[in-house]
Amino acid sequence: MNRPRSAPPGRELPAGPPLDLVREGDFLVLSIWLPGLRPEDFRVSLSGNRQVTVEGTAQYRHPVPREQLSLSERLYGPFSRTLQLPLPVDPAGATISFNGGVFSARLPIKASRVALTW
Amino acid sequence: MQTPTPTDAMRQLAEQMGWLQQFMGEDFWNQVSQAARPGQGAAGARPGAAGAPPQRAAAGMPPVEVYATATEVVVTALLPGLSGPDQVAVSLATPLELVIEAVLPGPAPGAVTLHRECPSGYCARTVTLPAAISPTGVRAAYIHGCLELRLPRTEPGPASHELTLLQVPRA
Repeated sequence: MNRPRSAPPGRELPAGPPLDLVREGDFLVLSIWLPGLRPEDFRVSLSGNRQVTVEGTAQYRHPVPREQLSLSERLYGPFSRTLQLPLPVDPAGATISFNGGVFSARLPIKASRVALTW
Repeated sequence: MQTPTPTDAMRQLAEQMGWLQQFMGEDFWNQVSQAARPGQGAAGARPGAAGAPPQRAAAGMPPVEVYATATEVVVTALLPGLSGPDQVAVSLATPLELVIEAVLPGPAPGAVTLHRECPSGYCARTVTLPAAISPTGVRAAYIHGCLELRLPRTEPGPASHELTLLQVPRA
């Protein structure tokens, strides 16, 4: 489910979901695309204050057998992906949301800014 | 004339980058960095739906899944992050060709992109259907980032890839 591409029925290609990381002021905002997944299908964890891991399983939920799909471009099965953050964050101050198939975490940066003299 | 120091050169470069962004729009540097990545090339700029500014089309978006039942064709398009039906348009080019257009939201204005993989902006996809459908009575639902369209077939028929045993006649 990493990129839109065709996978023949029955061939599971476990891959990580696409993600964006932006900086908004003193926050890192992580967005992970997880369309079609329910909250119980995945979990996102922060190891220490620099490493984010998203793991889960994309479940097949159509009411017809997979062989009966005339076009199938989703990948099903387990996936796991780890991202190293460029700055340490404070897990206790994280704000989480999951809307429209997008997991979003707003993480306060935990680093002291160094004053530069130009 | 004084020789410019590295600091002067960096300051000048920063000024030039600022002008370029002012001229080309907020998303300019995001688009430059995306265009430089393989596999995500521009598919041509087209006007976005619902009055959105023109943006690059996201290639291969949205991924779809299609199956047919005896009475309808079901199309599921993966379109995460939409906030309302005004961001999607569905058209029927022919009774067998469905066109899905959408505008995928990008990062918030003012955010600095550190890592980007999720396509944003206008995307369009033409899907060849397994059976002819009627443009009236189409039901749509948006659940967990997936747009599900249930399109009534013009004539009832077998479900897609329905198995039929071809019996060998007995002698």
